[in-house]
Amino acid sequence: MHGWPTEAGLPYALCMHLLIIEDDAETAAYLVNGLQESGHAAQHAGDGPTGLQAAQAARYDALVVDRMLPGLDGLSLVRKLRDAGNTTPVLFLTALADVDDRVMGLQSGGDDYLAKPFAFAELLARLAAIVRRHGAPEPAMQIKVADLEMDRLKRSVKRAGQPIALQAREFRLLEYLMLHAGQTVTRAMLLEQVWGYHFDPQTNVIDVHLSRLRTKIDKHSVQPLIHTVRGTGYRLGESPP
Amino acid sequence: MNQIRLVHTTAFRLAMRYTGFVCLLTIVCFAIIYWVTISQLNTQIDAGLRAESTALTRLYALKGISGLQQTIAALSTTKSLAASDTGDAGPRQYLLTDAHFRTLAGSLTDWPAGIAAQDEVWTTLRLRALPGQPGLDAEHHHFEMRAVALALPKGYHLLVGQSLDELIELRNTILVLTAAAVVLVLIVGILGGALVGYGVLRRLQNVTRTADTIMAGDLSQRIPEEHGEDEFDALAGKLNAMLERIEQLMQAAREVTENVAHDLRSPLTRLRGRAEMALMKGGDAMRQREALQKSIEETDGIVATLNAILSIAQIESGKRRDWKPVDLAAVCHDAAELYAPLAEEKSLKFSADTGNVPAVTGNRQLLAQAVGNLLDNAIKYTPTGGRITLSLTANGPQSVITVADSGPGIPPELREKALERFTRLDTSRSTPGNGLGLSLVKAVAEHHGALFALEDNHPGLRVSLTFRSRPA
Repeated sequence: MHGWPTEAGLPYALCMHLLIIEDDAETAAYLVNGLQESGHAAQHAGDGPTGLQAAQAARYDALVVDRMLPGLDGLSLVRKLRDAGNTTPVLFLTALADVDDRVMGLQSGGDDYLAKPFAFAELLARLAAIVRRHGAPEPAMQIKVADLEMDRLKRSVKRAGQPIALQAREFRLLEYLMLHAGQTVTRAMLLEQVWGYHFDPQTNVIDVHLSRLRTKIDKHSVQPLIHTVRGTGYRLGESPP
Repeated sequence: MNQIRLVHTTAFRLAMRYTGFVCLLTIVCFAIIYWVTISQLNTQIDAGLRAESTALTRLYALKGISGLQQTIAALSTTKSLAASDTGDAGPRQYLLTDAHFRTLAGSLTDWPAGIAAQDEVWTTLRLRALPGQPGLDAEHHHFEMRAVALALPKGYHLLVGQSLDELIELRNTILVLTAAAVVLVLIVGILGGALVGYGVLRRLQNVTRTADTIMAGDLSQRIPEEHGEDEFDALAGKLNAMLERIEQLMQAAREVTENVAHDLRSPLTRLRGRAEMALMKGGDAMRQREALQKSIEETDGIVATLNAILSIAQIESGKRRDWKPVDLAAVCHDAAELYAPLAEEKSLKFSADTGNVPAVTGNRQLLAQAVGNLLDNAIKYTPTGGRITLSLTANGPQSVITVADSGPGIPPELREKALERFTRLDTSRSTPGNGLGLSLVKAVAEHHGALFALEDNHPGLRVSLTFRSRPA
């Protein structure tokens, strides 16, 4: 259903069908409303057993699971789902922002992890990323967005046929953006995926790296490809968000 | 309360076991002494009797029966002259009879029954004592005697005996001494055991008493340490160090709570104020929107501070998670690569010199965050055009990460203060940050057993983290 955009620059229109398993009614209402406002379909389950039942009864694009749930905690719920062969992507929400906790969440079958409180845009970006990754074929070795081409094997980048020299980290940054073309990626996602850091650097160093990359990619072109999504992160694509 | 009873102490029980062993040893020793002495005496007595009987036999051969009769009569009355002469124990007894065992002379009245005197018969007799019998105490009704009976030529019979009273006395003495020695060993053993047990108990009670006080809530209590060197002092020292650490952690936890309360109160106040102001301003949608935007930023700041406090607290709690060999060169290289553009943006000369050093054991994320914080601080506080260097050098078994800048530095008297939580030396708060950066670095350093130092860079600040190549 959701493949990698084969044609460069296509706006990645995605309507996700989501299940929110969250015991705090107000948080759940905020999530359901927010997701619906953003054009997604969201259902809500208020405790572990109900959530497990709902997750098994219908197909969802992703589950948003709170770690602490009455009846059946989030980790066990996801473990049960995985044991039953259900591979629906899971994003854990937690009030515990411990690294151990994060590792445990990912080990029990979660796909991503988000600490409360979070920016709604961060949740959306991460959901889009795990939904897209799920069931998608291995990304191609050659990726193309508009006139920007990347050969992941030769590690070369061309814009409008002109080669662009990138440092190793810049290449990985661009690669991640191109693999998530049309999607908003947040600074935290970039820091985690490109640098492998799970902490918050006090200054927004990511912005500086992005602005350098942007200079190299968009300098000689009329059409910018790297767009800033205000207050959230970045998006690579033909049209601005 | 779990009072330990003295008799149940290990020390006492060990002492008792040892006492039992010593008792057994004492008994064995005295038994050996007993057997050696008694058999020695027996041999002596027999030798004396043999000499006496030989002498009398010879006298009979020389002077005939009448000579012998006279001599024996004399010997029997002169109260064991011979005995004291020969040094034998106890008086001798004599009896000379004719062929029909009729008494001719001697201190004994009758020939003892059961001795068929042919040639030479050795025997031990138990006889009734006669009142006034020479060499015998009146109170003895019976006495034991070692005797040799001889058949003399012409059918005469001669019996020479030696009272065993002194031998028996000696035997009794040895038995009494043995009993006394055993009793003494028991007394000394029990007293010693009690003393040792009490000593151990008393010192352990110092520990239990302190534990009770601590359980009752007074964490400042420490176990009294005594003579200084023994195993109890070592134990007390260790326990006290442990208590110290626990108290520090409790203190840290308390501080965190206080800090959270203190440092979150101001942004929460601002947040609340902003919301109230937005409500008051009424219809202006633009300004309300702006107020809401500011509120979200304020909330993010609060969350960031909270996360920083919690992660410092977590690091300080000492639980070593994700503990692996870490290549410091890679950590420094990555951090340099992450921050270099930021320095460049501010027109700072940034150079990184990361030599190869042995791996340290630790948490890569925390080390990266620490180095990142140091670089972030240096970039933040160094004015445009300044210089920042990151270096990693091997110094013997140590690996030293140094971040030096040409900024304003920190005066020596303020360096200690700079490491305190929430301390920001520029009171204007013009630079962003929550004042937790260096506290986190300090916590990470302590967590890894590294030395964290702030020094003068002439001009500027030089911060160094010194790792042992293999932190425990």
